[in-house]
Amino acid sequence: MIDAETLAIFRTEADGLVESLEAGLLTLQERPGDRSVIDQVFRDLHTLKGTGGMFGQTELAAFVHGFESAFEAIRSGTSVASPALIAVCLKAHDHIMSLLAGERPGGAGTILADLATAVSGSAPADEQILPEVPTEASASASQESGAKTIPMMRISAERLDEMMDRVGELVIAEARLAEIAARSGVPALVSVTEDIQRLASSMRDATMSIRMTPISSITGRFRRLVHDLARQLDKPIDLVIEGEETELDKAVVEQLAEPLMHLIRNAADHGIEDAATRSRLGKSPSGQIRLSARQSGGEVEVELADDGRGLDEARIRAKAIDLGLLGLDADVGSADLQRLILSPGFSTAQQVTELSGRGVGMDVVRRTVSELRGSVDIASSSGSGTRVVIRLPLTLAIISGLLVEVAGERFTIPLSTVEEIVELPERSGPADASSRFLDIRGRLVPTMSLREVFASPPAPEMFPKVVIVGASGARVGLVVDRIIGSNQTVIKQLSPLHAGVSTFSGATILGDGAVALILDVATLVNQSKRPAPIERHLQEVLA
Amino acid sequence: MTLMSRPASRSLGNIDVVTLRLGQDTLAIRAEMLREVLEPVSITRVPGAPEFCCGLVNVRGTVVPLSDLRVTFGMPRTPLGPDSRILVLDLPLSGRASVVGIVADAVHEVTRVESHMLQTVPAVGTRWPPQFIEAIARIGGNFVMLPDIPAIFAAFLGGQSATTVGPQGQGAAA
Repeated sequence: MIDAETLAIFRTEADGLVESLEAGLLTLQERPGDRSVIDQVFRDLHTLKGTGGMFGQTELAAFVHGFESAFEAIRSGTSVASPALIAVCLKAHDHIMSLLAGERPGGAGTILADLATAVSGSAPADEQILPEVPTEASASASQESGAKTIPMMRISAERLDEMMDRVGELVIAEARLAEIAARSGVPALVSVTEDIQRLASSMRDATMSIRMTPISSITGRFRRLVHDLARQLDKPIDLVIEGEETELDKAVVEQLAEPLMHLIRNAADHGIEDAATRSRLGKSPSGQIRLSARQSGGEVEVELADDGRGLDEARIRAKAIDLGLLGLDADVGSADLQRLILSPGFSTAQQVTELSGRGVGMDVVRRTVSELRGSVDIASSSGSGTRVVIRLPLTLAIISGLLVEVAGERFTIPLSTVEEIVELPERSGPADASSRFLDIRGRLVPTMSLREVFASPPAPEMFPKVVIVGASGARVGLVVDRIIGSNQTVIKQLSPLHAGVSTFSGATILGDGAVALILDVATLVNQSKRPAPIERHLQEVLA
Repeated sequence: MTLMSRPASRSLGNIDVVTLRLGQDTLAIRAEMLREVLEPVSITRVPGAPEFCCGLVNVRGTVVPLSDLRVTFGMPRTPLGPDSRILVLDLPLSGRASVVGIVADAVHEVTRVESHMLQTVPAVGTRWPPQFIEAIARIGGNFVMLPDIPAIFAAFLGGQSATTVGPQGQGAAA
């Protein structure tokens, strides 16, 4: 038979085709008459059949042949792409998926028969029924859409990761070289070092840009999910996707799929009301789920909003009291209450049905996002829907960092979070710096002494600096002893042994070979934001 | 050789171990998990981390967590001295291949322990938690503990997710 490598090539190619096929079918559902989409679907099927045959996947090729033949009716205009027909086509698509996965699914005959029935039932006018399996598709061979395509190359993710690792090491070695060159004072060495620095940094940018993947690479499956959920729950639901071209690091995009899936499922299941209720409430009968993504600074914001009933705060409060998360008379604001649904205790199925609210998978969302060094915010208003905003760093691999010193220890602050650096005014002495506010151009910014946060040995701070950082819309001033400078920071994940330490998002290796920790600014900002007891409580709950 | 003296379990055949000193005690660690032994390098403190793994070291470009078995066995922690070494071990953590460092006050030698020189731990009578001891070996006439390194780290990881640790211990990624 065929060897593993050939099979892998086939799989990559087939996966792309199947994905495009599904996207085409779903688009067709929205615009049944769109010729270019119909042609696209037909081309995908045809290529898939050809590829399958070429790689010895006879069962696949035969099935796709049947599918293609049925679809020919749509292409030739004897049938229209009715929702019922698309539903069967999607089933056929799933069958292809499981064939590709090496499973041996049954029911090929049934699906093909259903297809034939659906095709004949979808005649535009009083047209004749098409024979179930017409003769070998006389179809024109697939024409690659020429004009705007640029030459592409598929690269295995593994090789890309390896390349990124090497670039990471290069950046570290380059930093060491720069230190040595600076110390030596040899002009030739300094000049070569500058060349190497320039090359390393453009190498890094190029490698990172290769890894950037548009969010659209995962949105296809959401269209499908919403389509299926709408049928299952018998609620008309539209999925609107904005900013699909927004790019994120490949690893981030892939890991984002699961939490978004949970959020969409929750929105469809618990958020959006059925059509009758919606009409009674004066809403449009079909619910809307909006997934939007945009880049802002060093972060990408992914927002999932629905126009459903919103979170039921009274029920959340009751459940929280029930679970012992809140005292009976706890004074908790809306925002904090809503954040409670992220806690693991809220996520068992039984509680969700009781709660008429979200829950399933919400702690998966929280956990995944925090593993990606991002943050989750929830805003919900009763009756008009829920909005979940996920903020993620652009890349997981290399960031620009600001190196600071606190009590002789060095730490890195992600430069993308740094807004400005100021001197700590004389009057706010170091002793109680943690409780002070700074007046930054008329706005009060709370300060945190990193010496206290890190339980560093107390020592006089001669001229402490304050690094003003921002995350999730809030700002905080971090009091440090000294600013060392900015540097390229190759992020190394902390081991599971340090999973409990949320103050740091990772570590990096400095030019002299020492390890420096990278501050998790979002966590620090959150710690400073709500000094009230409820925050500590929430943190325990959410830990 | 009677039937009784055969090793209690398959894992207790002839094994190569590296012996080290921790406090006043001698321990042996399976050589198969040992990657290298390092002179004390610059250790980065992790503020807020539990005492058991409060440091990080750079091992050839990788950031490796540094653990201290003295915490597990309730021994006093003393600063590293000139004889101190860091043993870099290959150890799966949470099912993933990982590298960890452990501190030793001194490293002695790599030696082979015959299976008949190994015995399982008596349930009572040792001052060390028996669940963390894999076996007791007789090396050069002395009894030497083989700590069960995977069990020690698994217990730490399990305990960490169950309870919070330290003031900064509320783990978002726990």
